Amino acid sequence: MAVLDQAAGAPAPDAVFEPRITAFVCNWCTYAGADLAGTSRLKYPANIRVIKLTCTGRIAPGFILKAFQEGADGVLVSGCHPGDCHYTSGNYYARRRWTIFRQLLDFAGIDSRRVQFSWVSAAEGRKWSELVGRVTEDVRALGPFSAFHAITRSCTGSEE
Amino acid sequence: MATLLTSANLTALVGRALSQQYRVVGPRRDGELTLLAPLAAAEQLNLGVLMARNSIKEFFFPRCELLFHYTLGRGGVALREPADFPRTLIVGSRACDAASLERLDRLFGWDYRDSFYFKRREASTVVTVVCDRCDEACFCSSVGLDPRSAAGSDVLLVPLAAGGTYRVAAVTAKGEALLAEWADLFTAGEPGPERVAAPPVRFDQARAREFLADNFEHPLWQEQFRACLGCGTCTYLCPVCHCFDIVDEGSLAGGARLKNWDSCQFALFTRHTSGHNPRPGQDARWRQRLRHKFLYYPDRFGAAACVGCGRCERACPVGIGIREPLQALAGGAESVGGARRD
Amino acid sequence: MIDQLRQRARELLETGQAAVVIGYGERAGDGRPVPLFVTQPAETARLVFTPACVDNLARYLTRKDVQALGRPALVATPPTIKAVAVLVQENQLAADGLVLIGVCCEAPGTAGTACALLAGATLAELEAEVAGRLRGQELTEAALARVAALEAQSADERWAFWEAEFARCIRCYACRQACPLCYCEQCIVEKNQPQWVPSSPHPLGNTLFHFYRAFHLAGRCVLCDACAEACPMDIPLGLLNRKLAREVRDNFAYEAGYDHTAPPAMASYRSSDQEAFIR
Repeated sequence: MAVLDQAAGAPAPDAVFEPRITAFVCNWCTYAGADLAGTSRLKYPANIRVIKLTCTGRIAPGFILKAFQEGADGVLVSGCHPGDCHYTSGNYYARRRWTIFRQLLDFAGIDSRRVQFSWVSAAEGRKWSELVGRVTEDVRALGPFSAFHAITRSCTGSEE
Repeated sequence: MATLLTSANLTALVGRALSQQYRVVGPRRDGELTLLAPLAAAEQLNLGVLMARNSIKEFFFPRCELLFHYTLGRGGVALREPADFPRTLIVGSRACDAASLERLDRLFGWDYRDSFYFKRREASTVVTVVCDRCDEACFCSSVGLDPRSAAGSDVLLVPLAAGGTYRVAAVTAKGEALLAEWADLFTAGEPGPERVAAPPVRFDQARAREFLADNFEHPLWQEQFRACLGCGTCTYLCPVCHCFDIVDEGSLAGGARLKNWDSCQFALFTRHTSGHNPRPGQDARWRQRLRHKFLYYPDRFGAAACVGCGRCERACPVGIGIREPLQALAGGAESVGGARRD
Repeated sequence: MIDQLRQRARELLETGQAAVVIGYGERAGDGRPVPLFVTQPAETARLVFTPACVDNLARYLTRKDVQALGRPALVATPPTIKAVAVLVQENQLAADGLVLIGVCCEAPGTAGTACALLAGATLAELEAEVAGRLRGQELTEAALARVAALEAQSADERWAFWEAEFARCIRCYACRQACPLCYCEQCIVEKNQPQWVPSSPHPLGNTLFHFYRAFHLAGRCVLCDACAEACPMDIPLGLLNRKLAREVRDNFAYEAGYDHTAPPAMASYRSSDQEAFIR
């Protein structure tokens, strides 16, 4: 038994797996785009929890790891298109970071479809809703991220 | 006449213990390393090396130990303590490892009795294989021990010069019970010559202690230990080092309190919340390490908090260890700086 | 060669160009090379240099107690010179704030191979010499063979591999302390507001620590293997560092440690950086 509880309650065996997706998005583009999806009444899966940051340049890879630690099955990271960053270049630095970080995760044996990246502008409400739908289905197909969740904190004395 | 055990029967004994749901811990190959670890099969036991990289300490004082789970609910706080102290047989400990248990017993039973530590002690039987070899890093004989020391062991296996057989000595009632349980594996016979190797005495422990008592301030602390990286390798591999940190991991809803190894060699070990650090440099930290092991602990408990196993020296990334510093200290204040020359 | 080295060290101390010479000495008893800090000209006789001298001494340049000794002269192997280049690039050192005594061996780690002083005196000169010797030799197919072998396995197999490796980690931080580029006064693992990396040596804490460390070294690691050599549990840290170094090279045409004037890979960008993976 893991030291920490995972998702509140285990689903019934024949229930459809509902992946938990955490999204880290920038305030100026993607968050506005998601807002537009909402005001346009575009439907997209409720599996996603959105965390707003000022810029993708603020996103430390540690956020992605923390999301997995806290029970996420997949992570989506999204921001302004290159050239459109509200802070001019934050997304360029982020792009380099993501390029390397996803290689680290892949090398460690984490399926790269669990961490996805996109550019979604403030005008792309439809893109956002479709993107969330696709990412949700990708992660649903991969199943729960049990390998990562299973390594949670086993210590001598716990019943592992 | 003595009790004898062949190597084949030792393997058989391990197999029987495993089949009876003992957790059997022994030196086991892991790539290029030999580590003390739970065995999955008797064949994994590897007694062909001087000693494992790690010590048996972690089977009594774990690297990361659950103290309790907690959950917060409508009824308040619920705590759940561990109940898992598996019956354990340690095969292939060395005399230095076993002697460390005696030192840890005194510490963990001193002003506060660590019940989890003692539950593990009660649940464990220690079978020590007396050393038939030693290397440059060994110095058990300099700290009042030798390869045949029985302290902390329940059974001693002494290798015979003829090879393939051990002379068996039960040290405690637990040891006798082990011999009785699998009596058919042991034979009576004439033991013949034994193959035991002990390191030469490398320094005078009393003189080292004298230096420590008299030289709180001394340029040696800076000069001798400047190369020290301040990692925890020596303290974590040491069978006797026992500092720990208590951490809570979890959330408001639930989690656990854990007891983890900690090291006096880390820069932040003594850092206060105010930001003040009474041991801000490696000089002060090394001084503390040596004084703890060779002054404070012996003054209180009668023996050095060091068993001369040499693990620290073998594994130290910059080759420091504890033997060479002790030789310098025992050489006396006037010879410091000269201790490196042969 | 050793006489020249000792002579140079002596001159530097006698003329006051350096207050301390950081080099290698020999441990009493078995002669194992150990880091040596020489402040007196007469003590330069204790300096040695053999193929066994592989510790990356640049590690000591960011230590406050060593800096307090004064201007250092560093006996610097090629990986050490690379590390100095990165430290200068990251503003931890001034390029003229230390004296470099460049040294190298034909085959570091292999006893009996020839050792020599490098010709260069300034950091820029030594960088060029080191590049001439090492550039293109480090991330070859042969050097990356174990990385490639892992990449050829399935994700599950890789995960199982790293789980087994990280399970041995005792969080001694020998890797971090031995690394010349882990110089943060407070490491990410020592931050607990919030606690990003559990300090506990359980599988989760260990995995996160090594992920963080590998990523923090991406584009900075000079492949000296000080970490892998320091690890008492033989965790193959060099695999992680080489994998990311190759990704940085292949994606950004950058290798750390050859040019202290170049912008660091992870602190710069090109608008043409590839983004095939971004939806």
